[in-house]
Amino acid sequence: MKESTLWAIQILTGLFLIFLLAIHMGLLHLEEIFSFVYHIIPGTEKPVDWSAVKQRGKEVSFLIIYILFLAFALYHGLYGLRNILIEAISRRKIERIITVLFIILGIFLFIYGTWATITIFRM
Amino acid sequence: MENLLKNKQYNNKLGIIGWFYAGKYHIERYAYILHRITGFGLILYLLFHIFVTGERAKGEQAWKNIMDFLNQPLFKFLEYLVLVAFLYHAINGFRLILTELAIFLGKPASPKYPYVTSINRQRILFFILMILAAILIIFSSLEFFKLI
Repeated sequence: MKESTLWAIQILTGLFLIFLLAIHMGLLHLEEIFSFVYHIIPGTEKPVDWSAVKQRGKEVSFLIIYILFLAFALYHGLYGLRNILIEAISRRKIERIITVLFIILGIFLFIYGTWATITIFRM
Repeated sequence: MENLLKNKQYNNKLGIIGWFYAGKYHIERYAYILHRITGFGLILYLLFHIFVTGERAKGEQAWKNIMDFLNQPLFKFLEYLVLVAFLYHAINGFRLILTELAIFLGKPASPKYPYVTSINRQRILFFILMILAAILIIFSSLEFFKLI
């Protein structure tokens, strides 16, 4: 793929991540406001308690959002890190090696995260 | 591109030091440095985060074990840093997208003296968004440490 295409995807994923992460951070940190989302009672339960985690994991909407989220975040993060690395090293051979390594790493992490998401969905 | 690289090789590579010093820097440059540092922090956290949240697939006990392990001041502090890094990175990233797409740049005009620079437009955007980031960081800090 052309570098310009990769960069365009970087911008798009970044834009999506702003919204997705804002929701993510809101749900996880502002439990007093968003407690209705996972039907918890603030003060007694937290968003990271097993019951809440399991409840979220079993919803189709969360399943889809988690997998999309994972793909976007991995792409955006790994592409960004790759750019930093190839700028710091800047040798064509090493650039290719880094790119291939990052693709493999990204695919591996995506498979692992998707496996975890689907496993809890089926529990 | 290959030919250009072959013909023009200047000995001007500064590596990571070049992020922090390579001549006269303006405020946007420091925003860029911070953007890179926060981005680097966030991707490191994400790798860690995938494995931590992946524990939930192993059942209730595994999840409780990892949550108990992470329930200590050091990890709480790191979590706080991630929150602040995200807020900065998201808002500055939004600014970068607007800049990239030439929004707020104004209409192209013939270059007549006195020349109009886009700095006057983009600085304002920069300051507005940085103030927004500061407000959000202060609010979320208070919320994180349960002060409000």
